[in-house]
Amino acid sequence: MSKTNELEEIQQTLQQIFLANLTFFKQTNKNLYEKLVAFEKLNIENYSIEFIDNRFELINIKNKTTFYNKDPFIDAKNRINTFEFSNAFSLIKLEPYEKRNHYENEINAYLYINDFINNFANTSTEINKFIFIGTLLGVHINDFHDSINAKSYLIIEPNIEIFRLSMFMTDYTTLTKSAKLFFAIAENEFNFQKIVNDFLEYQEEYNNLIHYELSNETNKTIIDKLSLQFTQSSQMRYPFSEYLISLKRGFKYFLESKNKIINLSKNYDFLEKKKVLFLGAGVSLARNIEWLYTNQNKFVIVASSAVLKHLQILDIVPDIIILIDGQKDCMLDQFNIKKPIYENSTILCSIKIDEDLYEIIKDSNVFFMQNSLELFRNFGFLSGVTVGDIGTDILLRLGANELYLLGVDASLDSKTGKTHIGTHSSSRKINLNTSSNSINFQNNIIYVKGNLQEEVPTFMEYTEMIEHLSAKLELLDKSYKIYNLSDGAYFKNTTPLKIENLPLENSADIDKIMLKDFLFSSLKQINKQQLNSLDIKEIQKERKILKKLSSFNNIEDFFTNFKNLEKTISYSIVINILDTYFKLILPYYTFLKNKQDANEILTSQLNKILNDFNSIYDKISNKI
Amino acid sequence: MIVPSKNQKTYGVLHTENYFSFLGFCKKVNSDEIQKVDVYLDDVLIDTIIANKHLQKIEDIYELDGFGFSYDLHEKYVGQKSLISFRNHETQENLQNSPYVLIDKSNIGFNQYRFVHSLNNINIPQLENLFMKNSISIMFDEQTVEEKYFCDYIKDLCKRFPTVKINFITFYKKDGKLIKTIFSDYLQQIDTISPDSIYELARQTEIFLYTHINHMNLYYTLLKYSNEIICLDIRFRRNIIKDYDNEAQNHEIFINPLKYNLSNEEIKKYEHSFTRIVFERAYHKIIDTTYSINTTTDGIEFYFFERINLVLKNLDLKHFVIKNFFKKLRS
Repeated sequence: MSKTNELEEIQQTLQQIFLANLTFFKQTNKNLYEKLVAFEKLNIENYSIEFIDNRFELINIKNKTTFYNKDPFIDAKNRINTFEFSNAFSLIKLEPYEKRNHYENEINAYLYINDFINNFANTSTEINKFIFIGTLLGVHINDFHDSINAKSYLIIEPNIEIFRLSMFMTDYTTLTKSAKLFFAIAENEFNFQKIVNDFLEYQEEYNNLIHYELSNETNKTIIDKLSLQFTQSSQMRYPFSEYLISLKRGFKYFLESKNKIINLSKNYDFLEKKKVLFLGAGVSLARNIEWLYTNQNKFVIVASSAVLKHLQILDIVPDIIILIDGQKDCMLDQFNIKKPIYENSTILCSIKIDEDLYEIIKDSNVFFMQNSLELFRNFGFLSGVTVGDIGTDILLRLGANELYLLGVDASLDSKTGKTHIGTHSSSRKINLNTSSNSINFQNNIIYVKGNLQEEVPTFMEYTEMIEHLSAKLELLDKSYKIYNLSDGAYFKNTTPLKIENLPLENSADIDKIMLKDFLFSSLKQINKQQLNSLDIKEIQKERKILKKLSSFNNIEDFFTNFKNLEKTISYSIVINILDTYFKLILPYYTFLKNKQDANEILTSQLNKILNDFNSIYDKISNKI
Repeated sequence: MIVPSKNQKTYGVLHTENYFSFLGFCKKVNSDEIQKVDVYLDDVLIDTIIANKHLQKIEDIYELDGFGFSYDLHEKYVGQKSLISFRNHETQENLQNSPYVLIDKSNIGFNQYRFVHSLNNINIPQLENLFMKNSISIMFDEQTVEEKYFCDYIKDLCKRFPTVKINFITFYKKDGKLIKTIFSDYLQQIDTISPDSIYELARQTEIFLYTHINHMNLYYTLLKYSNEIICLDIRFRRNIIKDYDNEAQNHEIFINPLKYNLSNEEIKKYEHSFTRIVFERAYHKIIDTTYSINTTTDGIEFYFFERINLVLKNLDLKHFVIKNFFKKLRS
């Protein structure tokens, strides 16, 4: 065959592969298909495939640089031969957790994980999920699959033109026959995250080690981006055991407390037309404590519990205290103050709060709020990242349409690196000059738009709070005036305001005694005093589910039963919590090589969780 | 009742540093006017102090710029069970966390707290020349004493230096029993002491062995003020002398040699060896020039035994090392 004929034949083959791929995307991935069609119409050509020296090469036309410098098929073999098992994102912990967010005598997620980690001497080496970071011409993709045979692949290529060229050389239609494919091709941030999320949600039980192959150094930043998203989506950030605590304590407080649970599913007008000042534990509060003392009667003072110790310095008594955290020691420490600081305040607290803390505050005007799950349907629940965004949300629901934020910094102090006011037990100073190459969600410092400064340093963890709060505030109409007095992060739809520019001379003092009575009677109107027929029905339904789940012979039986129930029942607390348990635990379960050990641990944990559920629902059922 | 206007309100907080030392602040709202604080012991005024200090700890907690005070209870009041109060001089209002109940001798930790308190205000002339020949003192630490290597080391010290007395400093009787059990074969050499002050400790010590970071304050106090007690850090065990030298590469002695009366020629002469610069040089200056340290030899042998041997045997060498090296560390 002549050289020309040979080339023509190659071209024909490439064309066929391309068309097959295009048809495949047309049928299975409309978004990508439309993107490819739109790109073709632009007639852009920055890259090309050339056949030189009897091999293919990907070339940047403008600067004439080449990507392979060797036969791409040999490159593919080399990549497989030199692939290191350590090229992986670890979505699970490999060393046991130290004590964290511990609840005494309760089920603790970290200990359940440790049960598996302690058996990690013999772990699975199967690669179930794999990521190609950059495709180049994609020649190595099918070769990798032949070698590792993963169950799903995430294929990332930021450059649509390069990906389009890969469609000439790589038969994606073959790959899709034996593995699930996810494509993130030239995606914007939002879609990229969504696709990565879809990839994670597919066969979640294999979210343990996810291996990757980096096509070339230009795509290296994608590794950090993925690392961050994997950390953010970790089930340990709010594990199943937190929901169990909410459920258990929620029913307890509903049965035992005077004022019980308020309905947060609606918006009210209790705080309308009042100047409401919400205090967070940022350094800005400490800097303005004398201003607060001087002007305390001009505002309805709402304090997150973390600031009570600081208010005590000047005997400032808040009108409302918001209490969210379910932990024991740090919360008891926040209430290690003189009783007059909190005994006459209206206390809005999460159903998760510690039982010893409840004993301390129960004689005050305590109202509970459902947290992260609904014990009672259509009663609303708190969701958010920190007391800063959750507290603001609560106040908006209660009608605060002139809201002032102070100490809701969501940042580190830009001069000193302080994380909180000095009286907060977590207060520490961070060196703002150190930089880290690795992504650490809780310690990495990034700069975000500031409220009173151009930019302020913050932790990655807080950026989520900033986004959460901004998203909430963005939805408000113009009748809401939110003034941010803090020298911290900027939140959308708020007005940055320096405290010295806030005119208060003409503001009348608030009668705090009347306010207290008003708040009490208002909240009384929206609280649930007793179980209604719907609640009773729901409780009975959960008990039936528990009965069906509680007797199982083996894990397979349990899963079959569980999946059936999941399909047929529209809403169940038990099923939802078990689902979060599986999301967290199954990646550890599948990572253990010895299935018998893994089954034993899982069975034992399931029995404990089911027992816990049963005892919770037995208690509440006895009161029906 | 006359309620002070919001601008006249004074406030402040008291923090207990240890049981007899206090920190705090006192301030008037919306004013920079310096406040005075009256100190009462059982309602008897014993002192008036001025809240005008910049104290890092206080400023960090309260975001203040000044307005701080610190107060050490005079020795003569230590041991009395009394109520100490800190009140604003003008308003006579107690600061937050005041009054505070002082501990007395019946408190189980009293001796230890009194000893720690004695480190706060050092009477230098009283301390600097106190010592006891051939006495080694070690702060008792349960964790360290449970380490086999440490016990073996102490026993080895007893064997090698049979005329030396070894004092474990402890304030609790139970520790004394534990020490006697562990070192039952060496009771003639090993003793426990409960000094009520640093002076009392100094009176019974020639070498202080620094074993744990918890005792850093005591180590540096002796290092800084004593002319007679040599403080040897034995927290780290390294194979050879060179390993110690490598870790001391960035020591101040190389950055600021003049402070240690050291010339660059001498640094070269001793081949940048920290160990040789401190000990071999001292030997050469005081005794003779025949002595040499081989830095490839056993590090434990030198740092845990030979250093002790050198200073116990040669009073002048000890003085030279203290004067030219240890005292400079904290100056």
